[in-house]
Amino acid sequence: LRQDLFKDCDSAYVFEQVRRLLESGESRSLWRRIESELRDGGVGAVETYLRSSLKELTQQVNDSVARFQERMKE
Amino acid sequence: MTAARFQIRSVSIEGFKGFTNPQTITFTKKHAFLFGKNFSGKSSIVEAIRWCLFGLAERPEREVRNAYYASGECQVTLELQASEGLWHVQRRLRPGADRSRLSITNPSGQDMPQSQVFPFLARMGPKEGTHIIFAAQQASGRHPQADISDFHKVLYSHLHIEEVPDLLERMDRLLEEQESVREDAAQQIDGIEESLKNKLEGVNLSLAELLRNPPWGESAIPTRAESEARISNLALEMSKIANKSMAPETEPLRLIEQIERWAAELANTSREELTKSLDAQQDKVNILRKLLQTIHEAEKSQTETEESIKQLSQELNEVYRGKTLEELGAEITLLNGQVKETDAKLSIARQTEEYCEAYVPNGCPACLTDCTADELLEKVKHNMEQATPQQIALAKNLEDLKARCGKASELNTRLKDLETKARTAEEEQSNAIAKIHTTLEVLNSSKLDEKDISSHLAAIENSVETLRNGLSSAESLFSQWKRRADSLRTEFRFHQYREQQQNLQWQLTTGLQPIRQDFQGLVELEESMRKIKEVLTRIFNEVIDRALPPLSNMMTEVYCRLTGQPSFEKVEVQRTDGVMGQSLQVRVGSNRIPGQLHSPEDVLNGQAISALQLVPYFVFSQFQAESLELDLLLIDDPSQSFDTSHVEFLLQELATAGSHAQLVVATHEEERFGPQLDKYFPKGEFELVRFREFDPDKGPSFVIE
Repeated sequence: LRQDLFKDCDSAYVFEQVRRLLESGESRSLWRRIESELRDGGVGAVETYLRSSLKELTQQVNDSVARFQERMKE
Repeated sequence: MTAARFQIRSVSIEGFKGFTNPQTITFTKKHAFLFGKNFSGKSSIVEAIRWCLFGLAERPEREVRNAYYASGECQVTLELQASEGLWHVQRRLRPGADRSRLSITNPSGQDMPQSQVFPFLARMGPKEGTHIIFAAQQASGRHPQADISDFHKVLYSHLHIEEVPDLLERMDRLLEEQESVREDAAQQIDGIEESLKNKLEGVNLSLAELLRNPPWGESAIPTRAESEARISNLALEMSKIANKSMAPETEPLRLIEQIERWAAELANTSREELTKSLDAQQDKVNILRKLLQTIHEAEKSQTETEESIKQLSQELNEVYRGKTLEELGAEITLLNGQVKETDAKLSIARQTEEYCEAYVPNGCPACLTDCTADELLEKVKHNMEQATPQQIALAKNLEDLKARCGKASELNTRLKDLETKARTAEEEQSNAIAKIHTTLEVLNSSKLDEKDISSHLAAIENSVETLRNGLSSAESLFSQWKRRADSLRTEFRFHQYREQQQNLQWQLTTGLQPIRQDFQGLVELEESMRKIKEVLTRIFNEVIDRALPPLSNMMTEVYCRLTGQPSFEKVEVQRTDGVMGQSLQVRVGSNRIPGQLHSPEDVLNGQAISALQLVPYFVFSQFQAESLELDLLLIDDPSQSFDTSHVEFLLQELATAGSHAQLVVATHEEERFGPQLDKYFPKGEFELVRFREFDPDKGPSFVIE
């Protein structure tokens, strides 16, 4: 009875809906990656992946800035 | 219904709350009801079990130590029965320590991590431990609240949706952390762009300023190659003039500096030489003018002196009156003798007169000639009368001679002084002429008159003027070179500004592109995360909103069974979005007034609130019974404000929960609970622990029945 009361209220349902709503674009491919991380290592793995992606891109920006400033000094 | 893995078999307490020396309560039955008056120590057992399992997360753990048992240990040990044997869970607060330590040992005596033995308990933590009913006695004056904000994790767990809020929370935290990182990066990029724009503006201004008065005038703008050729040509020209060699392939601006250095060197050299000559000639002019003045002054002095000598000589001749100074002296000597003789005669006559008047002689006492005194007296008076005018005339002559002599002497002295002055003037004149010879570098034998000297002076003054003109020409030439160099520098700067302008424009557009692209990548990732978070949140909220009505119904059912509330018979759980994510709140309402919900503490009495407080524990304990390692309901004084009939309703609910959970219920209302227990719980499934006296030194005393 309780299963009927709380039907389609689990993570799988939520993730399926997100997949459906994010049909295209960057967020769609990011979501695919998040789902893959969720399957492999759970929420912790997703956080690790997102944190490292943000860090990598931030570092990339900082490196580009540093290279530009170095070039300007010359 | 799945049975929990563990069941509490005993609890040993030392130095915790009201306990001092170690005491152990062994639970031989499934459930335990702890009866005793207030402050008899029964609540300490409930709290000890809870502390052993969870510790105190939000308050200093020092609070649980019995202050009168400070030297002893503060520890609680639970014996847990499992199919494989007895497990031990011990929490210990060492003397002086702020945090307690938990140790779990398996039947083989091995230490085991909490997350492995009690994964559900470890995940939920003390705040969400809904299966642990801790409706503790409310502090006096404090309104009890029906708070289920701690139960959302249980609901999520029951729905198997806990990954979603966990993911949302982590994404939220990441995005929040990332915000400042992105802002820093954006500021850096903005700073670079701003700096480039400022530089470009500066270059544009310099170019505009330069083009207002360009060095090439009305002519066409030279190319860089043309400007470089002009600089090179001027450098070549200057190197020849300065007799210097030109370094090959020197950079244009360096060449201009070289040109300026050479021009300055040339100008300095000619300036020094001309100035030296000019100073020398100017000195000559000054000397000659001064010497000429000296000669003029000497000549004038000489003329004046000679005139004075002439006048003095005439004056002296008048004083001498044809005599010499020696002759005048001899006359003075002679007159001095005559004056003395006349004075002697007169003295004798006066003495004779006094003699005659005194002695009346009858002859002259000097020549002894016979005569009477009267005759003699008359003769003497006659002589005296004659002698006086003569004497006056002699004295006058003498005075006159002396005055003439004095005057002559004075005039002679003045004459000598003038003669000396005349000689000095003559000498000065000679010296000045000699110096002029030297200055003009003319032989002393050559005769130089004033005309000659003036002619020489004019020639020297002409050369001074010529030198001045030369100096001015040198300066003018230097200025001309400098102007040409400046003009070429400005021309070259024009090309440099143009290149800078193009370079800065390129940097602002193409150069910054890689940074902007990288930054865009970062922003896009964040935007994707935000979009995913937004969609995830929306669906998650939809799911929770779908789950809340059945949950509200379940809570309403339990609440109505507990209270039989006629006025507010409907319980509704609402979702609220707070800073820390979602939370659940309980509201009450009535089917008679649909759409109106109230805070329980605003509309319910004490009994209803106490009942409502218990509702989530009963409802949520059903949810998690299947996943619990330790299905335990710890209840401290649940029947506050309950009347007897409602105590029965409560027991009914407890019996339902007790069908799967182990109950440990503490209450001071033995008379209302005791008689009913047999009705709701099978015999042999519960035991009674009666608390007697409480001794602050020995702790609580109890008997188990």
